[in-house]
Amino acid sequence: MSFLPIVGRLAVMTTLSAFVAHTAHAKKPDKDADILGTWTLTKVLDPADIASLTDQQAAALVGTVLIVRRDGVVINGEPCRAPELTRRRHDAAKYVREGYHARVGGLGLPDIVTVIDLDCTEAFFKEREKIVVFWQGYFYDAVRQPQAKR
Amino acid sequence: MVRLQKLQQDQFDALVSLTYNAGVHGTGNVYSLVDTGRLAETARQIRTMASARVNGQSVVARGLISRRAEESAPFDAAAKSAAMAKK
Repeated sequence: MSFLPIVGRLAVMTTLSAFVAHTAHAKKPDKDADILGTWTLTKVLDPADIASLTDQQAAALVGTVLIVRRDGVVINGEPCRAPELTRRRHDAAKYVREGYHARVGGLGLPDIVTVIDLDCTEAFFKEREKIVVFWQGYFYDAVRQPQAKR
Repeated sequence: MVRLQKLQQDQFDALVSLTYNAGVHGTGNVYSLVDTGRLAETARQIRTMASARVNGQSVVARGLISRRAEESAPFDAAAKSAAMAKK
């Protein structure tokens, strides 16, 4: 027994399929959601052995913005290419010493840290909504800017 | 990492020297500039990398200025050649 003609049933099924597909897509979490967005440099941490800035110049960058999008990264107004956003876990002390010629002591990173490739630099996950980012020879704390309410 | 641009031998040598000094990740911004063909910016960026830690202070080191001048020269030369070729 059917209450709907065949055309009506097809229409209902199509609508239901579209709704299910849309819901499944909407609920799929973005694996890079924890890094995509706008971040503000909040504090100078430590420099590497070799840097492009003096301590005063590095301090002047506090308050500048890091934007991470899939199609590009912008840090302090300088554009970088689309990042691969690959992430790897490393021994923080060894990675920072060997890769940056710097000491990990003042960075406040966990012993095993997740490092994410931003093309022209890297970010280290420190805690929720907080990263350490390297720029021009200095490490900075950065916090996520709250998203504007729509 | 430089993946898209073919380096001349002197450019490769310069990047090895720079990387040995500043670390492979500490040089990441330079690699990115090279790989996007921004050679004049590459040379400028290399020349800025002349501050070193001395007694806990970041100071411009005279020895690094001359080293960076040598390392940046192949990129300056290539940028000038490219500009001449365009004219």
